[in-house]
Amino acid sequence: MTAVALDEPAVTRPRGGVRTVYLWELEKLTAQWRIRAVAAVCLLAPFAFVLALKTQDTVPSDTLFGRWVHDTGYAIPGVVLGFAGQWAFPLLTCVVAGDIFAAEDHHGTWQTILIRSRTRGQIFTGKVLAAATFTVVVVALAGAGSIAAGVLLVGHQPLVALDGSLVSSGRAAELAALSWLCVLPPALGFTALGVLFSIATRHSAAGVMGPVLVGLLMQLYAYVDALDVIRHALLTTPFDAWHGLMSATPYYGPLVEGCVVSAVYAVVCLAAGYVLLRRRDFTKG
Amino acid sequence: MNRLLGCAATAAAALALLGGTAGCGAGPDITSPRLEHAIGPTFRNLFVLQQTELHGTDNMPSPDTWANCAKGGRKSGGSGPGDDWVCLVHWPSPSGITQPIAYEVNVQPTGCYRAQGPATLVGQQRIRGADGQQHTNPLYEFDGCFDTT
Repeated sequence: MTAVALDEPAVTRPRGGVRTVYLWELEKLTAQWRIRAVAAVCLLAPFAFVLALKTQDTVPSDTLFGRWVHDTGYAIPGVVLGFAGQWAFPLLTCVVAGDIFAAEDHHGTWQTILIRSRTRGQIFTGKVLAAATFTVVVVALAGAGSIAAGVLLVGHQPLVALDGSLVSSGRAAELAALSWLCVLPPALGFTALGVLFSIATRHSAAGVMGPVLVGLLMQLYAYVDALDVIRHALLTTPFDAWHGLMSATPYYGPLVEGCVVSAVYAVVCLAAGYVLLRRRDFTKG
Repeated sequence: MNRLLGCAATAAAALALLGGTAGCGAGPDITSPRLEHAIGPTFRNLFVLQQTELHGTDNMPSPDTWANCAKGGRKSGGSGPGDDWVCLVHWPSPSGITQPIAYEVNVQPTGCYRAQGPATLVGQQRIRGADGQQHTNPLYEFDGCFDTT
């Protein structure tokens, strides 16, 4: 416990420490080829998906909006969201979140950064903000990529919504953007889960794969006919909340519930992560 | 490690509490009234869309939003997800008589469903429109979702 006493000089708490840590983390992230590759894949994968669809007559009719992929480009963001969103988002967000604390363990740099004049709280906040920023960027890139791929490669015809009503081109673009916005809360929830795994396991691979595994298990549960109550409390359920928007008579119940569930996961995971980091003795190296 | 377990226990307790409040007093997520309320209006909208594709304009009388859904061979009602739902909807036949037709419906636990209609009545997957082009037949098979909260 000596480390706690040493690195918390309450009197000379440096100002702007979070900002410094945050900017430094962002600089480290943008310098990694791995992170750049993930960003590029998010933007370009929808284009590859649409091009693959265009070479064949069959449609992915087992996915919502799947049977409309040749009729309007606005079906593409919905298909990508339903098809890849569920399992891809936990992986994409945890590529950074699961690694951002464990990387310091991997490189053995905790002692180095803790003797700088930044508190553990500031380092924690800066790193979490950097991971959250990456999540927002990844979701934005994939959303923009899939809307652009749909509109550019298929067209901007009106969209048949989930209640059978015809949605005009402009409104369909709005709905596509809004539905991608709806996956941000659970994606950020998985970011928090990644942060917790990263701190708790002190191992990058576990930090990245742990939340992905949790996500897969939750999805598995969602597709078996079991207790409905538990399904409402799973972090993967909010990934479907956008369905409610795709209608002339939209419903927001799942969206509100999803935001609450995601917030609870985020708060619990971040609090647990912070407590673990705060009390950890790094002097043993 | 004890601390980790403590955290996990706290998290589990918080989630249980959340789940408890979310589902407090509520019945099952998937019920026949919910499905009927979703599939009836959706069928009506898609029927109008199909007539517009076929004839250029929608001059057929548009059906009402009535639907009657039943699960697993019952006469009416039922609850829970499954691919054994059958929904009756009012279909205005080309002869002008409105008759009930049956859709086989697969309902997911998430509240989304896929309905497949009788192709002999509502047409095949692709239909020739008034403009001579092939169109996706909206009534052959369609998806929809409803609120499960």
